[in-house]
Amino acid sequence: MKKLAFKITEEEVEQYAVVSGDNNPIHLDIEAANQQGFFNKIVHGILTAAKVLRLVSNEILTVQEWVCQHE
Amino acid sequence: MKTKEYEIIFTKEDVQPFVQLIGEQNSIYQSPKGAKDDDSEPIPLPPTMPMMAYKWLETSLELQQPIIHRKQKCIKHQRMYMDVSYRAIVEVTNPFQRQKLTFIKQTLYLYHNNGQLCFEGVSDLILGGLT
Repeated sequence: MKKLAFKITEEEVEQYAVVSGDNNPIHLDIEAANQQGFFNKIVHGILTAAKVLRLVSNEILTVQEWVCQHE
Repeated sequence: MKTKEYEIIFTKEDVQPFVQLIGEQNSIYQSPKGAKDDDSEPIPLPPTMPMMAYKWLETSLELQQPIIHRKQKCIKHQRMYMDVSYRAIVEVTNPFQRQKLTFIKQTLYLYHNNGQLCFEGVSDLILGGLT
């Protein structure tokens, strides 16, 4: 099995908020995240999925193959 | 509850910042030449890009904070492309209340202009309220 690793930085989360328009404070404000029971700010789910799918597409799939479903 | 239909076009100016942000190096997303070299049709959208359609939709539904995604599922029925016009609709189903929180299922549908369903993005959300 091939291991794939990736990292998401705080700066990338902030940039994704700008690019996507998703400014939900649980992604950007630690106090708002704490209030909802999270110990830190939460990465956007779609940003995580985008990073994972980039790795899968480039490291595992061929050019003709594409991911048709993810969750 | 459904929104009205919106016309959505993912332009190069929308796609490039996203592609750069996720560190995508594949030339298929960079230029028509890159896409052609890879034996593809015009420039395809990165797989998670369709969910970005939300930023252009003005729904009459107001989701109140806190807004927390429980689960998210994306189904691509057709490959989607840059600079192609799509129709977007958002539907909210299965609302229920538990204690002070509202639970809903929110689905983004993207259709090609020929009526074919291209994309479904299903989000299970917990909200402070829905008005």
